Amino acid sequence: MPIHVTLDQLMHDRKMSLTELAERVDLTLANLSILKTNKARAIRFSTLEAICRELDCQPGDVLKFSRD
Amino acid sequence: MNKTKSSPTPGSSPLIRFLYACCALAEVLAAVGFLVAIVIVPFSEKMVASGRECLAVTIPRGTLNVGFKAQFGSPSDARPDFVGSVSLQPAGPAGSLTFGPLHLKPAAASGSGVSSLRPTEGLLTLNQPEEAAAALAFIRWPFLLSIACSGVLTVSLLELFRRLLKSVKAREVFTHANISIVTMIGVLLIASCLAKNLAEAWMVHRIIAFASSLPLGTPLESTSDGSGSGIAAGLLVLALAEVFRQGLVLREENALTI
Repeated sequence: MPIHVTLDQLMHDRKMSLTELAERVDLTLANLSILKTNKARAIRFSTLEAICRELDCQPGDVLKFSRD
Repeated sequence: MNKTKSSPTPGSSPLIRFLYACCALAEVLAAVGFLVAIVIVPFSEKMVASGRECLAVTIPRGTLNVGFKAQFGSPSDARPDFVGSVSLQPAGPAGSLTFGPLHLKPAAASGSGVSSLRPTEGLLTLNQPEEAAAALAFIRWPFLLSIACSGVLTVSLLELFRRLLKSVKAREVFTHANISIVTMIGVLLIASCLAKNLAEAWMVHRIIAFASSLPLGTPLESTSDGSGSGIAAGLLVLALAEVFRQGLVLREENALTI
């Protein structure tokens, strides 16, 4: 899929684990993992809002588009 | 914010639980009834010949209906030990076979322009035990086939429906298994309707062939009214399988929406 979720880099920069982020944004580890590995088909605004709030970033930092 | 963590599955509706229980019970009763019918049919010929049983086999509008009264002790004027099929009570004496409805062909008109009668229907009752037993022997195989078609269809449909209800109870409606179940229900309805109609037409044809040798005074027509409702129902259910297929696509889409 051309849209990529770049959670890895953002979590590494903020020294946050997947488990901790999952607890903060109220998602299961499984769902967050689906998101991180780009297997998700869609993301809710509420989820995006929670991620941006906890990682202190913009939606454009989380989602990247590439043509390949 | 949407809660996406797993929560306990809420209980299924009371209607679904009730239907599931009824389905399971009906399946057991249908299976037992089917087995009893298959076992009793071969004995019916002997019991009719000995005057211990009277049997009625009717096929109104393509639906096999069998009723019998049987006496297992010594044959007498006492009440029968067992009466089968409450909705259809054989009216003939002990040792008789009633079959119908059969089409009675009216006599040919004597000249042109004379009003004519449309064919009417009637029941054929063979009152002599030997004759009734011989007729039963003559229709044995199509009779067994009709019962088998009805019994297998009923039990299979109830089992498939029970499995579908079980998955609805577990809130797992749109799954590959359920799509297969619904498709199979549709195919079963169509195939068994065709098989039942053929078996019953064969039975009517055989009884007409048997009755043609009897001095009835009225010619009989070898026709039987098939029922197409099973085919229509089967096609509707196959359309429903497509609905389940689309539901599965939506469910998978929703499962991967975080």
